Amino acid sequence: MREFDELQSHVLQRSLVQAGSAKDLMRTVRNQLLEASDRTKLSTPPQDVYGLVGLSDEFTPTLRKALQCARVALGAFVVTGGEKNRGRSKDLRHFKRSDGAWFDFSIVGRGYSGFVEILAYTYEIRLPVGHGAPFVRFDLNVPDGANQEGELRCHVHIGSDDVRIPAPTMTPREMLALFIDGICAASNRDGRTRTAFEHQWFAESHRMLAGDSGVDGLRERS
Amino acid sequence: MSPGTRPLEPMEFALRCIASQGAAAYLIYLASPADIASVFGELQDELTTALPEIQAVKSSSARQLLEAVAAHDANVPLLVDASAYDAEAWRLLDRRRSSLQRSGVTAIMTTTDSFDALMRHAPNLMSWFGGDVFAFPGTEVLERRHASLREDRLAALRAWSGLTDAEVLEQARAQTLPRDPEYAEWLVLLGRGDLLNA
Amino acid sequence: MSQPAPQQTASEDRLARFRRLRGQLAPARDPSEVLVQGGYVERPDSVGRRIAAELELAPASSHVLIGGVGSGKTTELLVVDLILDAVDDTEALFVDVSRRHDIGRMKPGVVLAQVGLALTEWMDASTPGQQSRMAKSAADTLRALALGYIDPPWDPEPDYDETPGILDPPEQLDDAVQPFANCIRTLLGELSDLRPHFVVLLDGLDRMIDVSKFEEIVRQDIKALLSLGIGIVLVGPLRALYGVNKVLLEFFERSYYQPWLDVERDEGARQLLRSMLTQRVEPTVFEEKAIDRLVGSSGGVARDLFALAQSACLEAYLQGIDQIGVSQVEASVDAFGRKHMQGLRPEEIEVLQRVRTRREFVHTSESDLGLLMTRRVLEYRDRNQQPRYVVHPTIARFLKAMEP
Repeated sequence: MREFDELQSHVLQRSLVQAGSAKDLMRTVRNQLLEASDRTKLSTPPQDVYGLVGLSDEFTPTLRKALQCARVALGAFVVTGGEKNRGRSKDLRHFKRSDGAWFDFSIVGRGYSGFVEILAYTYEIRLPVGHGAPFVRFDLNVPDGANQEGELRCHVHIGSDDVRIPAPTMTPREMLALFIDGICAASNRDGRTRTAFEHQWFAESHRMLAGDSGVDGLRERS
Repeated sequence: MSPGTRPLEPMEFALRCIASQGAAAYLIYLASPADIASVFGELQDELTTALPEIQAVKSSSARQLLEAVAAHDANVPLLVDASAYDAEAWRLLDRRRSSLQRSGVTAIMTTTDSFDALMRHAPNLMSWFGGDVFAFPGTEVLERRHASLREDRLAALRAWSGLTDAEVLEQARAQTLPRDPEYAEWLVLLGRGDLLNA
Repeated sequence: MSQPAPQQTASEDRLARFRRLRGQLAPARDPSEVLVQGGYVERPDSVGRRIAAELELAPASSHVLIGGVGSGKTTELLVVDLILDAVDDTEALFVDVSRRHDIGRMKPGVVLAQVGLALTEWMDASTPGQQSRMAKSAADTLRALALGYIDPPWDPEPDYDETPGILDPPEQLDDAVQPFANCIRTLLGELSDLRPHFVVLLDGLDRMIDVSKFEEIVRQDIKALLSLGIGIVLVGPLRALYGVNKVLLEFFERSYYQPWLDVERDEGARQLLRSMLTQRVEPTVFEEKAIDRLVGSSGGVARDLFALAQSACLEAYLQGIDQIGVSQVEASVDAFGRKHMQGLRPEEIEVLQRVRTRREFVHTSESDLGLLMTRRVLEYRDRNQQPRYVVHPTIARFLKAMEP
């Protein structure tokens, strides 16, 4: 959307370059999640945190070893947190918050000598019932050098894979802080009473979803 | 055949060390002589992220270790390369174990042969370790595990998109691949990070 | 001596809590710290109390305490120290011989030197600046002889030549030992009004492997201390209990054996170990069944009880569990057993199988003694001091799996 070109340009100026290597980034991410587990904000136990965070790169084992010997860490990598789960199945391994929300993520980047640049990411959190939307997903698409269609490269989906809203780029630390402590009901007051509009919207949405897949299909998916 | 010690990846061993800081705990990590140097380096990197005050002690003798322990505060975490220690070295440390008493976690890397010597010649020291003795599973095992995880992720991406690896690569070369982060990850896992900015 | 274990604070996160618990359970913890912080649980018929009672009546008596690794010998020595602290006319000096000297290079004079240093340090702290010239000279000489010197603090060239007589007294000490004894005698004379009696609690000699060297120390240093009227409590090497070495024990007026606790047959032993554990941490840290399993798996070795508990604690932290249960203890027992099986030779495995299946153990070789020293074989004593042998509980299932 061309109306957002300037906004997008402004947002994308925010540097996603971080000092260190891909492994450093992975360890930082892991330690942040571990600390949240220790604080019991995450109910995922420490050994599962370690098991859920992974790092893959584009090299063969032999080449990686050679690069390590030369103490150079470069090339593209992906830091993953939890199993790939676009189907939103609770059967796949994910991080769990103590209030029932659960999430996973992946971060794609490129390593250079002494720093990494984050090229793309996707973080999705599924919220407990009654928390406003079933999921929230932040995406940063890969840079599109040639094809300037004005797509919103950095955006958020709130409860819909089809609706995108511009979002600022965020560092992994910021994203995880949002997911661990940010996207949740206010702790200092009771939930607001829902308006008649909201009641009707949810009821009509449910009828629409039931119509899309049939009631049985809806039950299966849940 | 005697049961071996439990295999554990370096980062899992590091987690146990981090959880033991300040608890007067001693943990042992065994590796083959060929792997010691690289695994020690990896452990050091892992531990430094969570315990930046950690001191690495690459001592070729037990006396050097005793000097290093005396030189640091008792609460500082230590990572020790003890792969060169023989029976005499462990006997010395057994006699001088009072000097090794400290509150900071002490993680000791050594070989199976050296550890066998410790078990035989340092009965008092070995009584401090409890069951916190683990072994590096070996590079090949780790690579197989890693390859399996990579394949699992690729399978999930294929199932989600309905595309094959070949189709994704073709689209990437043609610059028609969607810009979603999933496809970026796909290219990395296929070893084609060069197509990311195409 | 009993105080409640430190409790969780409101601001403690999981990591801090489990680090604290692991620290409280550490088998390598300084025994004096455990005593001071209220973690000590007294055994019925405590060896420490018995020795202290004897010394109260006879401050110049000699005692030797022997026991396996991790049986609590140092702790009992510290209990003697604590009890004698309350006795006005007796001062107990705790000396860990291994701290200032390599036990592998023991020779006559080393123990006397360390006792002398401990005495000078006590004197300096108790009578600062009030010592006589003779006492100061004795202290300087002792320090020089013990720690080395550039210029000797005594006159290197006496103005007469000493010629020895024809008689060679049987109580004559080695040349290396006599000067220390002379210095100590002077210091004792200086301090006799302040403290009529001194008792030395000697730790660390149990680590000596060479029993002949231990015998030399006993015949020179210990004999010298006793002749000076100093009471002795010494922790001796386990080897001294077996074979021809047993004669060494007769040198002491009393000998005590600190056995491992018979968790197989003695319910009192099991209860004691339970108390040791629950004294160190809050009562809700372990499930009841987990405590039972820990006690049974320890084989009655207090240090192994804490090592197993410490490892189980780590398992609980890693698994996100707050109360340590049987599952975490089983993981700890498995890891301990695997470690305990490392380094065993085929002939030793054979011996262990015989102990496991037939309870037969005749320690005729250094290798057999090694199995006792490394706690693969545990010795229990009944009321009549008759020994009984078992394999450490953590290795029993591995041995069974290896049965031919």
